[in-house]
Amino acid sequence: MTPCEHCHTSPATVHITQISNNEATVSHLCETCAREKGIMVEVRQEGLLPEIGIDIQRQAQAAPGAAREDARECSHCHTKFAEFKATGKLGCPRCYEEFEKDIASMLAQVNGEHLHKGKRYSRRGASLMAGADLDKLRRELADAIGREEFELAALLRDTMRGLQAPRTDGKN
Amino acid sequence: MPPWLSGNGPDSDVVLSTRVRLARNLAHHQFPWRASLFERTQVFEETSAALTACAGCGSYEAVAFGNLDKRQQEFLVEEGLASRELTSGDGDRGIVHDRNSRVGVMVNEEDHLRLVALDAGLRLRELWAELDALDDTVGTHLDYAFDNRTGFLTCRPANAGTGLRVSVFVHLPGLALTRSLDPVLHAASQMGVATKSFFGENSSVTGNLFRLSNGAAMGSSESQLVDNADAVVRQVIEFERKARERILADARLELTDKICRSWGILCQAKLLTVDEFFNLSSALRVGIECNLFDKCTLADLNRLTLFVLPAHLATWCGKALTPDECGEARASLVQTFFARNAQETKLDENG
Repeated sequence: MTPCEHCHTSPATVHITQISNNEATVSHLCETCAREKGIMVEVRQEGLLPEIGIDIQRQAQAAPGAAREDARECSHCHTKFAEFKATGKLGCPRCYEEFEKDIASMLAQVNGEHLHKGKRYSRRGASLMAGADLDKLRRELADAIGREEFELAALLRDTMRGLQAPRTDGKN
Repeated sequence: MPPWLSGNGPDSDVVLSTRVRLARNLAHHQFPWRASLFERTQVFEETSAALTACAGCGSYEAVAFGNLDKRQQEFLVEEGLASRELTSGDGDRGIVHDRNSRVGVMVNEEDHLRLVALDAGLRLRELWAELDALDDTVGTHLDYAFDNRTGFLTCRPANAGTGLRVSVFVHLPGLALTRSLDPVLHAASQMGVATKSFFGENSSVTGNLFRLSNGAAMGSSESQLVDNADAVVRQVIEFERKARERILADARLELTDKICRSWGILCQAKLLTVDEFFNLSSALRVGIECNLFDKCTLADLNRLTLFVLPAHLATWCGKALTPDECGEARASLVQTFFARNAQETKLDENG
């Protein structure tokens, strides 16, 4: 196990990848030093703040069978989970479904949230599309209620209302 | 000259410009880095056609990066119209922008589309409203990748959700001189606004110029993200103004001396690096902003800010330059610019 870069005694269990100008730098710290350093809010000498770090390595390392996890790939674009870990980039929109749990926990870590609360989107101009959207939303709503994810359920319900209401302002 | 360098926007004593960006992708294509050259061509053609044809998008011009040499690409990066990522890719990619380079879309950058609005001064709400309307229009012509739970799907999950990034470029010499930068910027980060150096090339601060951006792209609506960034930036502006007042009250002579020395070096130096120019021009900038210096305007300094960058400098000289030649050419350009400025002012005064 790599020793902590800060105290050089405890094993490093927190691995922070900071991505700046498409270059990744990795820091390895023990939990105590990481907490002491404040991680997300540390101010460097020059008065700059670090960019949001993406700590997905810690989870993958802690989990048993990390190698098996890394070998998983998106069935659509064949991007491997290990590639995503290394670059922070997904291969296609479907990767979000394939690596759903990892991404949700990463988003919660980065944003303190993993639910979108902003603009809703459905391609307009095709009435069939709206019908298809509504069916999909009904299924997602039932799933969300089943999983007791009531915040998501409320968002889905609002979206359905938006789609069903006559559009007067050109917005969703 | 792009409008974001006009120097006459709201709160222009502290804020140079505001940039709002939305990341969008097409549902049925792989993200640009993963897509084949053929697929990238399809995306480029699909988006360019949609953008140039859609009603309400005004008059747009498409620039294919494949047709530009490296210097021309760098020139557009320096103008703020393109990102460095766009210059390093291959295959069909480029920008579609309006005639006055205020609103544009980068195609096949990290994401299929990056809608960008950029203007002088603090204009977060105004630019967001404009980009939101453009997004609505473009979204009817294309099939965006969107998920009800995650929102707009982006190549990097950290951008997913709203896909929104707002950035405000600020000049904070008062906070730097009173050694108050760290606590103020730390407080801003606690309120969800992160700081980077203005040009983002490395971590060093040049010319007291900073970029303040929203940290999270998810968990709040776009309007909430914009309002929060706006409120935090306004507080930073107030802290900067108070710091300047304090300096003017306590060290007016020292500040004026710093400004005059900087002016002297800029007018006499035989070699100038980019960093040196930014640091010296920061002193002139604060002089203008505090009414202590009137030999040039903010718009002049903003123009020079662009002209001293490598691709603009090479264009001015009409040839590629070695690093040594760059330093000499930069000093010469700055002095030519100021001399011509003085001449024009004299002519104006003489009617």
